[in-house]
Amino acid sequence: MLEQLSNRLIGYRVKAARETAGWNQEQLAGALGLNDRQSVSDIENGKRRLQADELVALSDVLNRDIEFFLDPFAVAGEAQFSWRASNELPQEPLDDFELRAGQWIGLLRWLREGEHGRVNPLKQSLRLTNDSTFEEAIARAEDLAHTLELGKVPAERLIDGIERKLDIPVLFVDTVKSPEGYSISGATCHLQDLGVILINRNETEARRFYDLAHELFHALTWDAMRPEHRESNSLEARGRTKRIEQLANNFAAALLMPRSSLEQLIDQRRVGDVAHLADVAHELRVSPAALAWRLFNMKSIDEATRQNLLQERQRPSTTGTPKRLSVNFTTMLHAAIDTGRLSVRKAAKALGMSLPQLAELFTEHSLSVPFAQ
Amino acid sequence: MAKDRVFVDTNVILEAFRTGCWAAICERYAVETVEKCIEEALTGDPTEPGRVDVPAEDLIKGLAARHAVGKKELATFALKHPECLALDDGELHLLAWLDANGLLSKVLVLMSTADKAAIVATGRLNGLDALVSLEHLAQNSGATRAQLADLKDHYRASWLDGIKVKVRFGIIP
Repeated sequence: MLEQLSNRLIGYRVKAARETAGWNQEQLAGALGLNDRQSVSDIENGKRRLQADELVALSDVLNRDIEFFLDPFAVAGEAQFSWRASNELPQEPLDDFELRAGQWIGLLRWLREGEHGRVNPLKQSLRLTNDSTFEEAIARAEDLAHTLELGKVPAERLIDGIERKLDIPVLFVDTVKSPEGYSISGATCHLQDLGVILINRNETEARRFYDLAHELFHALTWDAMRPEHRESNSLEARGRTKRIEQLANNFAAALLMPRSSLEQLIDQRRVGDVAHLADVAHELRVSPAALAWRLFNMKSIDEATRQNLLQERQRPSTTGTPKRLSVNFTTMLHAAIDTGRLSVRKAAKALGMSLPQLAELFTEHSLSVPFAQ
Repeated sequence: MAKDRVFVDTNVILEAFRTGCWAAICERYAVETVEKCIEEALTGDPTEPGRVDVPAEDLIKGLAARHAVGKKELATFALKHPECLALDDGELHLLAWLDANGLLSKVLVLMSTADKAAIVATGRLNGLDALVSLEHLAQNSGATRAQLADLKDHYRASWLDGIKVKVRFGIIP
């Protein structure tokens, strides 16, 4: 837990505030009356322990509340996001949403550190690089499905595998939506000591799983292939644009539809029967279009079958909308409030909720409400 | 005789107004708070279900004093007690002010009894004995039986005593 206020975390915020102000380290050193830019560099790198007077001076010269530097849930200057959003969604609501999401992730990190007492020193990554071929991305996905023991229908165990075996939290969130219906599908957030996947819980089941597998690729290849801050959430547009996104798409398809699963589920005598293939897509929790793309790339179906399968409608989802955030997150939050490690109002503020809304969150997850209502 | 000084936080202000015992308590005690708690008590979505309407004039009129907490006080307190940063702003400001003025062990402090975190933090600052419940103050102030009966569980003396025991025995946090 952040019992010791981390100089490193304060340093991130100093750097973020300085850069937002458009200052270089020399200018800030001058404003603070420090000898040289090295002193500012030491503050930003967490090498120098700040005194109260220095924090006040930073607050004054950078025109930020003192809380900006001290908030244990802030991730300013530290969190890097990569979003999958409609091209038509304006940047401003996405930026606003990123600030909100940053608070959730900062709170999640604080809760995890409180729960485990330490940061996980290990970080998982895929053995892929920018030079990897699509075939290699597919092979790694098939291997990962095997390693995570995802079974015949990988989507069913994917969230558990990502959270428990890869130690990457998955949060289901209500994202922003423009009046025209343009929205965010998902994101990967990268912190030095934590990766988090955000998924729009209001998307269709098939879309959610595809986005989850896609974001997993980014989370596991962040250091080798850092994605853009924003990419289109249109599958067609993704495929046309960046190679990293194409690799992510191939990875996602193979993770959700490994060859072994397809061999078990598809009756080879009916490989041209689109109704049968649509049933298989439904069982795998993917869209008919995703299955068509995968089978065509595997050369298992011809162009005519692909076109026919693209016309097939998605079968109705078997599961409802996921509960907000995640079971793990909400359970840790409950424990922190219930044991007096976290104030109720602080938690509500970080989540952008009122107290009744916070109570609803606990009720939604079948937990008691750990505060007066 | 001088009134006992009592410091209240946002949750207590809201519950005192909800149950209608604010005026009685302010009559009996010298009630003080920090600006941040006043701000929190007066803001919020008025259309929200269960929202307690706090008339600003009544709130201010009842207070014996209101205190602004400076950046220096906050920064000093946060660096000295980083675990308190998980408190909400009002509670943090209140404890920072009390700590800066060395008052935590000298006055009655009515902290948020709806919030265990504030009680735990006060315990860490050796101020557990100064905590009293809203029920206790309301009783001493001549609140009506109906007002006392209306208090939520977390504002009752029995609830606070239970949490204090857990803090003292290290059961929480």
